[in-house]
Amino acid sequence: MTDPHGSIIVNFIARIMMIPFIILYAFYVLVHGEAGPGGGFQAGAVLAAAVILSRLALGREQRIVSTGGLVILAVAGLLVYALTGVAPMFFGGEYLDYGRLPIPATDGIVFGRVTVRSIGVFAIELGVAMGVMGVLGAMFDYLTGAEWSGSDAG
Amino acid sequence: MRVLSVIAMLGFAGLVVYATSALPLRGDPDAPAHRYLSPYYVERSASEVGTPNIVTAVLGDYRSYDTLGETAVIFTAGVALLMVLGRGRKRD
Repeated sequence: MTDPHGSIIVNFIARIMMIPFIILYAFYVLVHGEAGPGGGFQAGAVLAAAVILSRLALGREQRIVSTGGLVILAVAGLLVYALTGVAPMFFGGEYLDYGRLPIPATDGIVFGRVTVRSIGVFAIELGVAMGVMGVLGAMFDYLTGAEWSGSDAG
Repeated sequence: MRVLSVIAMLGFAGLVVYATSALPLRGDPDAPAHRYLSPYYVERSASEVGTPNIVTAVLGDYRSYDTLGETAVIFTAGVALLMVLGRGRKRD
């Protein structure tokens, strides 16, 4: 299951067309979560689809992230969320009080009407996406047993 | 012991079903959530949070603790699975 598929068509379609598009679409879902349907959980699931497709179609030599990298992503995602919450506490706010994030004077100046609070919301969405992507991808690796015949010291 | 646990489970199930009868009907405009909370979010989220999407404003700002907990739940489930499936394997 973790060997390359072997077909040059499957390899080409997955590597050149599908995986880049899936990743691009995931970032669209992530960024668009500010204005419409979308957000961190959905973007993380879509990113995990790209990770799993790279494992199924390309095998372990050409896959896009290693198992260890996925675990690090999961941890980093939760840390991004928690630290985004901690940061305002050093600037006179409370936990997860994004309005006190140390981003100077973006209220209504940068990007039209982007407020500091919505930047904080985007930061936590990014953390959620990283966490969901890392957890889902690492679960796939462990369930298929792909993480312990490692060529990448995984 | 088995009989006792079945009885306890049925008791709790009955309690939950009984408590459900006190919940407001779905879509009831006079439910407390629709009288106070929803209008508050609809009216103020644009000026207080600044994200055009009210769902994102509620998820990411008003109920940020909740979302942090959800992320922690997913992370914990993944780590637990990794610990169970990775047990006894030798890693070089």
